[in-house]
Amino acid sequence: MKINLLPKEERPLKQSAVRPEFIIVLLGLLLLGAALYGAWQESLRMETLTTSIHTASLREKHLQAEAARVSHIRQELAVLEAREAVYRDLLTQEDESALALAPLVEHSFPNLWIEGLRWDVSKIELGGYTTDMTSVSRYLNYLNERSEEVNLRQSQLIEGTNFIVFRLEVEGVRAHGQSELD
Amino acid sequence: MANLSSIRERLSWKMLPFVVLYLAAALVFALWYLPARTRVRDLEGQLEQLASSEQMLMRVVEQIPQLEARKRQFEDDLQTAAVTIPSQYDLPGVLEGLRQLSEQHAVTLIALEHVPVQAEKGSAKGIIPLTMVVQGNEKVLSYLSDVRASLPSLRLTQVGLGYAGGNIFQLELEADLRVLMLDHDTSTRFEGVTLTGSDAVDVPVQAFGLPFELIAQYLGKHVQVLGIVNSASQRSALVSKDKQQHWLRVGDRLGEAVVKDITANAVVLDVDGVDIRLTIGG
Repeated sequence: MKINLLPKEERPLKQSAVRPEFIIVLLGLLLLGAALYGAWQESLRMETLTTSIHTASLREKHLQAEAARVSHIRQELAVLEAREAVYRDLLTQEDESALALAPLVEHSFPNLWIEGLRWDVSKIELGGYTTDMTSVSRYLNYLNERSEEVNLRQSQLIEGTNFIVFRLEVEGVRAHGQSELD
Repeated sequence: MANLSSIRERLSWKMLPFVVLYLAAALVFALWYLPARTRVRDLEGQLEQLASSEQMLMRVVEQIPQLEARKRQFEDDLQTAAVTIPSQYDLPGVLEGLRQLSEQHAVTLIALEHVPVQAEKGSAKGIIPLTMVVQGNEKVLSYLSDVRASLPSLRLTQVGLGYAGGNIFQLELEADLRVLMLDHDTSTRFEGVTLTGSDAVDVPVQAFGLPFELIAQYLGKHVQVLGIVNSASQRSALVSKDKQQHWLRVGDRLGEAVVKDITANAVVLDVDGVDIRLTIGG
C-alpha cells in the first residue's frame, strides 16, 4: 500500500482529469482570439465599405454632372418651348375661309351677276343683281351647301326695270377641302 | 464568508496572467471590435444612401437621350418655321417679295401700303398692318392664295373682290403681317417671299357683272329705243342715250355696251356679260 504525502494541489493528476487553470487560460485565449478575429473582420469590412463608398461617391459625382446636364437641357427646352409658342401664335391661321371664296361665286345660274364680295373673319357680304328671282333662290341653296348660314339681307326691285338688286350674308364658310362632316 | 476567504486565498501573483488575458480580451472587444462595428454600421448606412441617390440620379440621367431627341426635334421645327417668319427688319424684303409675286402672277399692284409696326413693350411679337390693291384676270385669287402660302405669318383681316369689267377683277386686301420683334437685324432667319406654286384658283368671269350703277346707266329713262328700221341687209335701231341719239347696228358700241341683237321691237345690249333688253317706247 502506497501513501501519497504530497499536498493535494501538487499531486499528479489523473490521466482523465484537467487542471482548472488550463481551462481558464484556454477560455481566456478563445475570448481574446474571438475578439481579435471579430475586430479584424470588422476592420476588413470597414475597408471594403470605405472603398465602395469612395467608388459610389465618384459615380454619384459623375451622375450629378449628368443630372446637371439634364437640368440644362430642360432649361434649353423651356426656352425653345417659349419660342415655339411665339412662333405658333404668329403662324396661327384664322383666315382659311378667305381662300375658299372662288367656290362660293362659281355658279352658273342664268341672269344672276355678282357685283362683288367682302370677306372678314366672321362673315362674307356678297352683292349682286338679277332679272330672275328664281336664280337668287337657287343661288341661296347653292351657298347653303357650302356654309353654315346664309341670309338674304336685301332684295330690291329697281323701279322701271326688271332688275332686282340683292345683298347676302354668308357665315361659317367651309375652308378649302373641308367637308360638311368636318 | 467561507467563499470570500477561499477567493482571497486563491488571489495571488500567479493569477495575474489570467486577469491580464481576460482584460486584454475585454479591451480588444470594447476598444476595437465595438467601434469598428459601429463604424461599419455607419458606412453601410452611408452606402445604402449613396445607392438610393445613385438610383434616383440614374432615373434622371436615363432621360438624356429622350430629352436631347426632343430638343433636336424642337430646333429643327423652329428652324423650319423661322425662315418663314419675318422680323420687323424684314419689312422692305416682304414688300419687295409681294411686288415680285404680283409680277409672277401677272397681276397689277395698284397700292401697297403699311403702317409702322405695332408691338407691346418687351413683347417678342409685333404687327404691321398692310393694305393692298391688286388688279388681275380670273387668276387674281391665285395671287391671294400664293401670298398666304408664302407668308404664313400674314393674317388676312379683310378681302374685297369686285369686277372692274373687261375680264379684270380688283382685289382689296387688308392684312396683319405678324413679325418677330428682334433686337438686331442680324438675328433674322427669314428667307424672303418665294413663289410656292399653290393651286391655281380661277374666278368665274361669267358669274360677275359690272357694278349696278354702270348697268343702271342703260336702264329706265337713260336709254330709250326710238325706232327700228328693217333694211334688206340688216336692222338698225335709233337709240337715245343721255339725250343723244345714235343709229346702231348689231356689233356697234354704245358706251360700255355692245349691241348684241336687234329684233322687230327690241334692242339687246350686252354690258360686259349683262344682257339688257330695251323695247321700243321703254
